[in-house]
Amino acid sequence: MTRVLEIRALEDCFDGSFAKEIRVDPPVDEATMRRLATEAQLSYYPEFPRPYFRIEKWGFYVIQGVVGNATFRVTFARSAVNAALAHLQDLTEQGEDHG
Amino acid sequence: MRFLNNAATSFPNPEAVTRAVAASLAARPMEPGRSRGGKDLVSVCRERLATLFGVDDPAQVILVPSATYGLNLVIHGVLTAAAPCHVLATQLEHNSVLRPLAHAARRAKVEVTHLTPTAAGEITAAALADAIRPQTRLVAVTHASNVSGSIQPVAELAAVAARAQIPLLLDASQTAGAVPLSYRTLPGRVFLVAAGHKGLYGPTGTGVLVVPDALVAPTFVGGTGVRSEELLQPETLPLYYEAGTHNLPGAAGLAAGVEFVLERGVETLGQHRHDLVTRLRERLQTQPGITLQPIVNGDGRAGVVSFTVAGVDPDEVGLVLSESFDIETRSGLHCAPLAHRHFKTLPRGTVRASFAAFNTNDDVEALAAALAKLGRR
Repeated sequence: MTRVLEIRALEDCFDGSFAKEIRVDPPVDEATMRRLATEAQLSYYPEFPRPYFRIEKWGFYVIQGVVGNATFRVTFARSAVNAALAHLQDLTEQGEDHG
Repeated sequence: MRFLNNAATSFPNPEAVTRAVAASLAARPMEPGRSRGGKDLVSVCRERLATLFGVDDPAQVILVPSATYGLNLVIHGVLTAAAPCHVLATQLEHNSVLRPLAHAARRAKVEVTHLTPTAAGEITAAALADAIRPQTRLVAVTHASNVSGSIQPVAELAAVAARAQIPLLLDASQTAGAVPLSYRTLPGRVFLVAAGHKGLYGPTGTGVLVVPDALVAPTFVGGTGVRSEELLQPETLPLYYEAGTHNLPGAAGLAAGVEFVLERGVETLGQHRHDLVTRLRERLQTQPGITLQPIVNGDGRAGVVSFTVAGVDPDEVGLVLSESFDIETRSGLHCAPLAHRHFKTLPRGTVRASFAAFNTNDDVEALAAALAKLGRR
């Protein structure tokens, strides 16, 4: 099961949204990435040297990261940050059998 | 990691710089005016900087904690004595100039005009001459934009300021160590400022300010190690502007960095940057979706290539380059919001690749290939 170890604030963004870096254990694998993309739009680039993914849940957040990394970045819409963060933590920590 | 963010801080440093900093930390502290036995590295650093910039008297070379500090010292020193007044700056300035001027304008009756560059990004002597008013007390110009890399005609601009008897504040943070600059040949009262941790290959926390005289009141005063009986700061250079204990490891590292520049040669280092910039621009010009920011006369010696990728946020381009391709660039506004307004790249800015002595053609090819892959997604 993936655990969220740390949520770290990054810089505020130009458009009023703001970003956090989420550290997880174990590092993000493809199954976790797809689980995070539940009911969201996934763009996945496995052909890049380190596979990049972008998950957008419109009006809530954009997740950007690399499969194999222990951290990923989430940019939250300011209006929905608390609900989005809780939703995201649930998704991240669901076991593989929930995926 | 391919490091293409040298306009922020150069990396790696020459090995001699790392060794000099470590040796300084391990050695008995040697300060000018405070220590006996041998030559101190603060004085060595000052002398090498004087050689590099063509300054007749090393005492005119002030060691400061950053370019920002030096710029603030001049701006606040000049404007405190001159307000109400008018200041000319350019839209290409970094926030280390824009913000001190904005604060001065808020605090006192200081009006600031930001000169508009040409479409290519050049501040012309004619534009400067036209904007000078009887109340103008300072002209602040960056030698090269940290956004576009365009190098300004500093000799012509200095001549205009000198004819009007207005001091010129020249921010050479992006050109020091790569574009020859002869302080003694610049006419008028010129304050020259540069960061130590970019093209001079020194540690962070170092910078240099060259002053023409000691006529501007210092911003900070304190201990100097000599003439301690005086309650006012001694008005001799460099003491007037160097209060407090020096950053000895910083001075040691900066001295080693400047020695590296002098040994390699400013022209050689500038040509290397120019070659890399030219190669990258050639590669990117043919890639669909990439828009390059203009550069004056194709002169790439500032080592900067700034661009956008159609349909992709610059921040995301920077993230993908870093995380997926192991290439470090810098995206966003680069602390120069008015430059981005001029180039119409607000609010998201651009991606900036910037080169220094240790970058190679392989770095250019890797970045071009990564962007091509990014463009095909």
